[in-house]
Amino acid sequence: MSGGDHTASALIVLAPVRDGQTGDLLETLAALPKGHASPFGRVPGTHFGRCVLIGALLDGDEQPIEDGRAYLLLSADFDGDSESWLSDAAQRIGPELDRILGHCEGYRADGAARTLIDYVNTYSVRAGFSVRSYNASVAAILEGLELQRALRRFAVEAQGLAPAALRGAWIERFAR
Amino acid sequence: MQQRERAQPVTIISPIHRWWAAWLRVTWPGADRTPLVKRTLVRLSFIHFAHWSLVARMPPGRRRGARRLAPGYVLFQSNFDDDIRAYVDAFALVVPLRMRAMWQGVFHFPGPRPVDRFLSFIVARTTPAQHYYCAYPHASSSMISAALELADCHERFQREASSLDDEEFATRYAAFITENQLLL
Repeated sequence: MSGGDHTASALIVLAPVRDGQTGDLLETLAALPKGHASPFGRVPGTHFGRCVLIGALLDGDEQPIEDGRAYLLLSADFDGDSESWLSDAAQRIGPELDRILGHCEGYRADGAARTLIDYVNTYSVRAGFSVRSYNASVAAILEGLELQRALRRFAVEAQGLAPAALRGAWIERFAR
Repeated sequence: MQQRERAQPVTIISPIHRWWAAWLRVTWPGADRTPLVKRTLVRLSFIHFAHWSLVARMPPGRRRGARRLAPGYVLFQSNFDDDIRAYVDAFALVVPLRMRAMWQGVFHFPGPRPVDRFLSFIVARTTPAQHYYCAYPHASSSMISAALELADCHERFQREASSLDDEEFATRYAAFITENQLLL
């Protein structure tokens, strides 16, 4: 279940926010459903997702550059490769991504997957160094956590059972 | 009872000296492919996924027609468990050299020790996430690692158990639970 040939990828997008759009972008982000209803949760295989408004990029003296232009950071970690995830995302959460990226410079929210994919590729940042503490798909992780809970419960409930009853209970609970 | 959410995001984008961008370009590819470099970070067991990126031009994904950002930036994103103070403490105390290898060329980097100064540096540069999603919000990184290891052990035990009689099963089951109690 763990390791094997599973691959995980990250998509990191850093795009300048249009002048005067910061407030609207914040409202758009605040209106996104949270938890499992999050748009990221609707793209299968997504481990993590985030949207961050970066007020301004600073120079070495901690002064804003580019007249304090704001940036949107949109990133996700997911199973498989970026191309598949992005095309899945364009299909499943295209309208939400359109609404978010519509506040960014150069983005034309026309509902077309190609527009979204091209824009994201243009503004994507490559991860230079990554750490992943586990190597498994979202499905395998959720299944593993559920199995862990079930085994914990079973270990408590099966205490004191005679061998035949124990084996029977095990088969009933865990036989596939 | 409502379960608390374990994974938290931290996002930092910080300006770097030009020479540091060159250092990162040279060292990251090798470091990223070397499990030994990452092992201690993984063993800290409160990082889920973390990424360091170099942002040197805008748009970042385009070479032709992109404008150079001066200074360049290190973009750090992590999904970690619980409290940022404990997270930064552990980084500073357990892997100070790796922290230097990542942050040394960031403007105003105070060094990993004393920890309070490093913590102030990190906290001051952290940008809050307006939207954050985790597919398994109530599981810590160590819970996940344990669950995945347990699943492998369970699979092996299942294969073995199918050919055992009741008595043998009871003996092997007791051993399975004892051997894996730390993973439960």
